[in-house]
Amino acid sequence: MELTQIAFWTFSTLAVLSAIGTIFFRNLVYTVLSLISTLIMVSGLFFTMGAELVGALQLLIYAVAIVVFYVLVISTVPEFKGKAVDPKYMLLSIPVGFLIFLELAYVSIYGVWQSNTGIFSPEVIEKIGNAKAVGTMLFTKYLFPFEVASLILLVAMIGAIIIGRKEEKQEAQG
Amino acid sequence: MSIIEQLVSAVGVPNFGVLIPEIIVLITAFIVFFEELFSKNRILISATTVIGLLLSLLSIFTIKQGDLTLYGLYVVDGFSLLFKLFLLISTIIIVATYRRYFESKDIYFGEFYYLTLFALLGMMIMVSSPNLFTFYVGLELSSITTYILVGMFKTKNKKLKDFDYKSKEGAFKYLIIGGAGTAVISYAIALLYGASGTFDFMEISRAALNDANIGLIAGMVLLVLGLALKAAAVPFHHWAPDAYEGAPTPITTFMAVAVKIATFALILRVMVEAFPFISKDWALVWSILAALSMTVGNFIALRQKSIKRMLAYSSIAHTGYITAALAAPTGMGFAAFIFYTLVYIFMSIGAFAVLTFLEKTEGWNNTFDDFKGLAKRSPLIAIVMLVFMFSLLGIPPTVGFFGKLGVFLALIGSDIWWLAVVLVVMSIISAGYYLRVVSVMYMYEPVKNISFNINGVEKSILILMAVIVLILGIYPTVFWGISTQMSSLLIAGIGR
Repeated sequence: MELTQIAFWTFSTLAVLSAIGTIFFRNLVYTVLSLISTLIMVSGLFFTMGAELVGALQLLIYAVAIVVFYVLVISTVPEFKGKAVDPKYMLLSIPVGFLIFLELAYVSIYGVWQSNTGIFSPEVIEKIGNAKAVGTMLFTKYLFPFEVASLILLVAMIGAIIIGRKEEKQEAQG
Repeated sequence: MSIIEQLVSAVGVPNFGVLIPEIIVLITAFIVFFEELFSKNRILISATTVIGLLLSLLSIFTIKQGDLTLYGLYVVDGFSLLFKLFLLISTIIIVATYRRYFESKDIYFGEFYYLTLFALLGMMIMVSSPNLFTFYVGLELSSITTYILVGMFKTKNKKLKDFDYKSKEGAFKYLIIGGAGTAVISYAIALLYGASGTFDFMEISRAALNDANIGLIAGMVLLVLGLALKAAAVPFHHWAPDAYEGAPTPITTFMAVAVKIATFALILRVMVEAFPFISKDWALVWSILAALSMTVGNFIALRQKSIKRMLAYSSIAHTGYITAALAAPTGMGFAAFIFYTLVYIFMSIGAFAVLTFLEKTEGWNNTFDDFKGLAKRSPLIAIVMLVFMFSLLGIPPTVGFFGKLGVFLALIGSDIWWLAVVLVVMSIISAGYYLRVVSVMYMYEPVKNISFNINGVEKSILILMAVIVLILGIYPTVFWGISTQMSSLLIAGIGR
């Protein structure tokens, strides 16, 4: 067995196990920890398949930024509100969940089939790498929206500071 | 490697010559930002802003040749330059009303100036977007800045704490509903990309011509609904009265004028450039939205006690009048749309500026009771308010009449009688509240004896707006000519 295959099976087994843990743990903190574990394992899967950019983004955005939000929410919500409810809706949720799974699987497979068109064919990607392909588009054609997005973040930050600033302190200063 | 080299060699340097107005606005915003950090000199901050805006306004006239620049993501043509010109003019007038209002209310100061400039930049990007990407970031920049501006009634004056609360409430509602609108627009963009494989308006129109499938139509309808939310059309208007009432009055003016006309310009460009071949579908959606906006906006406005809130509902009704022109997707309809949008600037700035100036007086809350006997205490303000009310109502010789006439003729020209009838009936109903302002001002005795604090600049702004409204009402030919030209330019650009 090759090294990549070993890595693939390890990552996917752990991903499935932690996904099951995310659903069935009854303690909120355990749930979030297994969610982090799932996300890290999925990003590992991306790395083994050669999609290093998506893997890195998965680590940065999901495993770090979003889960930190979850942890913050859990630390502010009172404990009694975080208790798990009895799984009496299982009868309804399992078929619906299965339907959603089927739909997602169809869309993903169909999307993989369809997206092999355009200038960045698999051969080109193999030659230059994902990060370079995305970077080329981002810093040439889509440079302008990218810059404006940075302005939006700046404005949002200024606004958060202005609206969140305490009034009393201002008066004390003068 | 060859693909990368090909791409990079093909892109070249963007044509910054046509971006000068935007660059000047951006630089001014940063200059004001740093001035505000180091000096609290209020006159310096206002002067810098106005000078920057004037320079940007002048630089528009240096652009001789339009261009599609920034790798096809930014278009500078007659249409976008016209709207940028009017956005800059209205922003200059509104910014000139800022200083004395904020001083009288003891509110924060410099922040308003640079945030206004950032919002203006977002709107300038909006009106010159040939691509869903540019459109989206421009819309976001202007909306997010406006949410913040609405919530900034932070005063040190203990008597005005209620206003502080209301302003936060309005901003919060605006943020939540506007955020929902942004989500709807994102979903629409995703559907459009899925159906056509591109973000470019022209290529979307080509895809719609070849195969107008269900995904494309659904994306278009969602886009219309999202934009209707941003323009405060019924049934997506619930944020508007609270946000308009809660915001500091100059910011209300900015929202009712600049943000609104930029949204209208964007709506027209998206509809005409991206979906010209499925115009029947969007004309139907817009006609329903317009009829609802006119009806609901006017009927609720009848019941208001505060004139500021009444004008907010009247602005919703005006969204209805203006978008009614889109029910007739013809050159005439687009010309009426552009004409009404342009003339709406002057009457709306005028009406809200009157409120801004009167509100500086202590104890003035812009209710109908406050307006009692205004003609006896300040004849000048009463007469200009009368002109603006008549113009919003659409009585000749004010320009509001020609705005409504244009929409009416466009609707009749396309045989959409039912909407034309709704427009006329609703205009008659709107007399119920516009004329009430006039009767309260002229037919009652003054209740309180207050002296107003209005200086020469403010008086000249009011007189200028009233004179423009009257002159355009007597001689609308120039504006109508510009509007017709712009609409034929837009139509000529189809399938470019």
